[in-house]
Amino acid sequence: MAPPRPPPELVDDAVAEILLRLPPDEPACLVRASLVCKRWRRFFADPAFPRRYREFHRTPPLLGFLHNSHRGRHNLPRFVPTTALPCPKPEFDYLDWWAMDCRHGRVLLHEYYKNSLLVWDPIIGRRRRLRDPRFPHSPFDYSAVVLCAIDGCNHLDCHDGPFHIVFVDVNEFIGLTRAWVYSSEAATWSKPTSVQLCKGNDDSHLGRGVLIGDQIYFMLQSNVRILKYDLGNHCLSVINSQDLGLYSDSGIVLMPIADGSLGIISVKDSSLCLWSRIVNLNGVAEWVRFRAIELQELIPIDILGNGPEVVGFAEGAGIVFVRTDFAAFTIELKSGRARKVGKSEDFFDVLPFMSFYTPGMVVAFY
Amino acid sequence: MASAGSGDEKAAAAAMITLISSDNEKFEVTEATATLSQTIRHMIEDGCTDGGVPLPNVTSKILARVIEYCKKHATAAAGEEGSSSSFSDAAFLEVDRAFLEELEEFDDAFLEVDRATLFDLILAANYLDIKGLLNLTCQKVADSVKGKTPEQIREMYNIVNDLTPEEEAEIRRETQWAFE
Repeated sequence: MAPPRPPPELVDDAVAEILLRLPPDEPACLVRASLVCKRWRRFFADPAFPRRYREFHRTPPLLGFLHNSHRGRHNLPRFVPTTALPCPKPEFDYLDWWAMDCRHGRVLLHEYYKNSLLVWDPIIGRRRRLRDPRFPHSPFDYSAVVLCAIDGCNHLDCHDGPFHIVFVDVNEFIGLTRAWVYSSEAATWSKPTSVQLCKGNDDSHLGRGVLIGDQIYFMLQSNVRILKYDLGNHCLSVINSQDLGLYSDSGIVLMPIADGSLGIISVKDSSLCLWSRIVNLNGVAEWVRFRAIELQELIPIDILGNGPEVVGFAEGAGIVFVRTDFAAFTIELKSGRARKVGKSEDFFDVLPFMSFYTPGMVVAFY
Repeated sequence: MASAGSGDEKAAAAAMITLISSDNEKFEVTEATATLSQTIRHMIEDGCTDGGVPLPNVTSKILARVIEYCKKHATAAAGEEGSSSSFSDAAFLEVDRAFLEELEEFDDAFLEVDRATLFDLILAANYLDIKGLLNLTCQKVADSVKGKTPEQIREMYNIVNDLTPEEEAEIRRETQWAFE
C-alpha cells in the first residue's frame, strides 16, 4: 500500500486560523504548539496574537482554583489546576494570608493579624497591599469581593486596570451588617453603609460573594438570608428566604443566571439543581428549579458517597464544583460533563481562577 | 406574500454560476451555493462571472467537496431566513432543531477525510473565503493537536522542525511545566 499523501504546506492565514482555535482551557497545548517550528513560533510571538486569541474565545477559561491550605502552623493559599494537561501554577509565597475572592484576573487575600488586604494578579505578578477598612482590628466575621472598576469592560484584558473591593462584616451580637467599598483609583475606602439584621440569629458567617450586574450577593450562614450590596447606590439590603433550606440537602451556592437575576445551585435528592427566584401569581417570591442533573449518571456511586455538596461556581465559565466524601469534581453545565479534579479535602473553600494564558506570559508562573 | 417569496426563490435558483477547477473541470452551481464564498460573491457583484469562474488554486476533487459543503449549508441558510418570521412557532423550532442536528451530522461526516485532504480543504476555504468551512476544518486540526507533543504534531502534519537544538532546549527550559 502506498504511504498516505503528506499534507500540503498551509498559507500563513490558515496557520493563524488553526492556532487561534487551540483550546484556552489547556494552556499546555499553546506552549507545545509554539515549539513545533519557527513559523508557528512567530505567530505566538506576534504582539497582536494574545489580543486576537482573547477576542476569538471571549470568555476567560477556568484554569484551576485557589484554596486555603496549611503548611505547618501557617496558612498558605494553594493553586489546584482543573486542566487535563499540565498547567502553569501561580505561586503565592506570603505566609498567613487567606484567599477570599478571585475575579477578573485578580485574587483578594486577607491577613487577619495585621488586618491587611492584598490584591494579587497571578499573571503579571503584581501585588497591592491595603488596610482592612476596620483597621486596626475587628472580631467580626467578614467577606469581600474584588472586581474590575471599568464601566462596560469585557474583562478580557483588564487585570492590570483599576479595581474595586467591596468588604462586608456582620456583628452577630447586635445584628448589624456593614459594607465599605474601596476604589483603587482614589486609593480610599468609602464610609460604611449598614443594615440591621434580626438579633439572635445564627448569621455570624458570610459566604463568598457573587457579582450580578451592579449587585453583590452574600449568603449568610443560617441559609435563610441573603445579603445584597448595591454598588451603584452604596447600600445594603437583606433578602429573607425562610424556605431556602427546603431546596438543598447540603450547602447552597449563589450563581448569576443568564437573564441577570440571582440563582442558587444545590444538591437535592442526589441531583445537582439550579434554581431561579420567581415571583408567583400571589406576589410571593419562590425558588423554581429550572435544571436538574442526576449526579449518579456522572459520578460513580462508590465515589458519590452520602453527602455530595456544591462548594463553588465559576461565573462565566459555567462550571460547578462538587465535593463528595472521597473526591472533588467539576461539572460543566453546558455539556453536563463531570471531571475529577482533586481530593475531597482540597475543596472547603473554592476560588475559581479564570484567565487567558498565551505563550510568553511567564512572569508569576514557575 | 408567500407567492412573491417563492417566485424570488425560483429566480435565485435559476441563476447558475460555472466554477472551473485547476484541472479544468466545470461545475454548475446555484448562485445561493456559490455566494457562501465571499470571494465569488464579490466577483458576482463586480459582474466578472460570465464565461465561468476560474479557480486555479482548487483541484476538481477538492472543489467537488467544497461544493457539497456549500450546497448543504446554503439550504440551511435559506431555511433559517424562512423560519425567522415564525420564531415563536414551536413546530418551526422543532424543525429547526432537527435540521441543525442533521447539519451537525453532515459536518462530522464531511470531516472524515485524511490529513492531506483536510489541509487542501483549509486552503480552499481560505482562498474562497468560506467562513463556516474554514472554521470547521481549522477547528478539526486544533482539536487534533490537543494532548500531542511537538514531535507528534510535526509528524501528523508534515512540518519540518527548523528550530536549532539550542533554541528548542531553551524554550523547553522556560516552559518546562507544559511537558511534565
